[in-house]
Amino acid sequence: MTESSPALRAEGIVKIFGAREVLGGIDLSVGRGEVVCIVGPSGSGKSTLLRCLNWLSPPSAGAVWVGDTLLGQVRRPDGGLGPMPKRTLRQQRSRIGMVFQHFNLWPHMTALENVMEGPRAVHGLKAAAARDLAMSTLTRVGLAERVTHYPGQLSGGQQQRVAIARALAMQPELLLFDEPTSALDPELVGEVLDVMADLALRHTTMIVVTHELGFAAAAADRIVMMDAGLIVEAGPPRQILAAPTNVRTRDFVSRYLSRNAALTALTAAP
Amino acid sequence: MIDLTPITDHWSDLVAGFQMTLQLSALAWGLACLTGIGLTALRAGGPASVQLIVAAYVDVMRGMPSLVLILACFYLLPETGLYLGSVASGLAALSLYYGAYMSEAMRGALAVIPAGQWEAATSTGLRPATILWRVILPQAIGPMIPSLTGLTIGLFKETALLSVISVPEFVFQAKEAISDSYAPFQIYAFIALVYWGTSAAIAYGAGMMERRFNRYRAAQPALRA
Amino acid sequence: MGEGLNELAAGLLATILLTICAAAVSAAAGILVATARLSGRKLLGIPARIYVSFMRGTPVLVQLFLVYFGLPALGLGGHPFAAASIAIGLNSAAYVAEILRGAILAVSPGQREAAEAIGLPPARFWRRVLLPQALIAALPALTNEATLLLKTTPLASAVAVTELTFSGQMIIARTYQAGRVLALVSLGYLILSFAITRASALLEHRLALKSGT
Repeated sequence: MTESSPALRAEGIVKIFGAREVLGGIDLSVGRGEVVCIVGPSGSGKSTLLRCLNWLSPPSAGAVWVGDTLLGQVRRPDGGLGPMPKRTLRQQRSRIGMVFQHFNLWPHMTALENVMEGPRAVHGLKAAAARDLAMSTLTRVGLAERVTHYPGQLSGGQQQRVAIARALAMQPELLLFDEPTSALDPELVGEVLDVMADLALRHTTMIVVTHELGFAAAAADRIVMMDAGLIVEAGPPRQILAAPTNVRTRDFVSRYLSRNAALTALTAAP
Repeated sequence: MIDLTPITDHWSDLVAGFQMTLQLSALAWGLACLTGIGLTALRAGGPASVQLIVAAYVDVMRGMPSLVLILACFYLLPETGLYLGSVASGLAALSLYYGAYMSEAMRGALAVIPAGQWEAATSTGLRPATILWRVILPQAIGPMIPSLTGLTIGLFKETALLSVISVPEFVFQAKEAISDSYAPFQIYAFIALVYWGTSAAIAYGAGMMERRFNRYRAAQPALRA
Repeated sequence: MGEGLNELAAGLLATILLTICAAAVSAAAGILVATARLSGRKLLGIPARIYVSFMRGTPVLVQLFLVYFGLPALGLGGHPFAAASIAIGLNSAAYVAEILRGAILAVSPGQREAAEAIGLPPARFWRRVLLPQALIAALPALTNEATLLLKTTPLASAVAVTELTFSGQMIIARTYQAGRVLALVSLGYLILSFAITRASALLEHRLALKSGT
């Protein structure tokens, strides 16, 4: 991978479910070490786009490159694109980590085992090496004392941090986050956002679909606003949040701010 | 070409056997339902000692193989002075056995109905009998249908065991036909198909009934889940 | 009555053996049928559905006779014990397949997605994530099916397998002591049924300890 190539590049992503066009043609390029937050109203296609980016839900049209490599598809001799063999795709997958809204931890395995499974099964690490890697990753997310706990014994915030550790243990080139805090009780959101902010500080390449505009304001290099299956505006936080050029962006941001305005007004110093 | 003559030669006997199977099933089903209702009523409203007896009865029935119960009725009922014959013994066994299972199915369906239904009806001033008939049972029947259908089909199939005590039902007649024609596989395959078709018909009918009794659920979005 | 007790004991052992053999057939066939139905391929799925429908729609006694008279036609000889094990096992397999299918489908789809996102090979996912959870969830229903299988074994008496019920019938024919004999026979089944549920409870307990619930 050349130094200057983006970590991930998507061109012309279209997704159609039955008769509905959910994504109408998305182009996105994410540089190495960049943090991109994707925001927008429900139904705008944010999560669908994310799942197209790691080919979990292959798009109806378009292409995705991870570094210089085409993902999920191969170029045919006639110049067209055909599906990539499943085994090759699986190998590609370990270059992209994904954190899900509902954590998706494997409930019958401990936190440690959840994090160890990928490195052992996909990267071929021996048990001892996998355990060391898992321990250090779990320590990074602040769960060193909980490694032998089962997901059922952990809070939502802790489970999500295990999920982040599980993705990190694969040592991916970039991380995708699908509304990582939407399923958490409010008081648990902070611990997960803290871990994510830490990753951002360390120049991890991240694409985060989120409703947490506060996090986006603080951690994002670029915010992408989506509505009705298209990107309506993209730019640095200062632009999107403070001086949006698109009317839909303006609506979305102002609605978010007004919800918090009552709280801010109530608690502001007299 | 499959040789169908063993079947056609004994057609009238086989038909008689199937008719007997249907009659036995219907009668046993009716008796089992009554038994089940009785057991459920006793368990819900009777004194504690009666409830215990009913619970024990159901447990014993569920722990025993039906064939053993059929043999027990066959050998032991005559000793009580009632010479009932094999048909009646078989009916008694099937009703006792499936009555226990049906009462469990009924209990399960009733348990799902929220206590609030009783409370609301009582506070409106309705009598217990009216509440049962107009409020509770209509809601309980829908959820009951799947398990009752399974039991009904089970009972229908289990009548085949009565051939062991020489009741002239379908399997018994098939055996007679076989001893005459030495074509066991064709004949058993034929009666299997007939059983299969009838079971499917029962399941289909039950499905239609279930839709009718659950219509009110679909009409209210809140209940649909 | 003394030698009668010996006969009943032998019958009990035969019942245990028959139950184990039938359970083995049931497990093997049940897994095959469940896999066929879950594979998503019509070529596998439709015969599997027909199989389940047939097993559930016809009396076990008739299935037993079909196997008993059908095996010689396949050149496999007409051994009653084998026929009974196979017939009872194949019947039970239809129910086991449905139980397994339900349990596998009930495992949350998000778990498969997490495995896919990591690039876990499907075989590994099945072995380490899907099956362990499905089997734990299916355990109560499988235990129930095991007791039902036990209660189906008396049918083997129809092809003269000397299991518990058949032994009982022979003694009754000799001694006319129906009440006593049948009480003992019932007791035998109740004890075996209890043993099955106890074993399952122990297994469930051990598995629950392992998964921290």
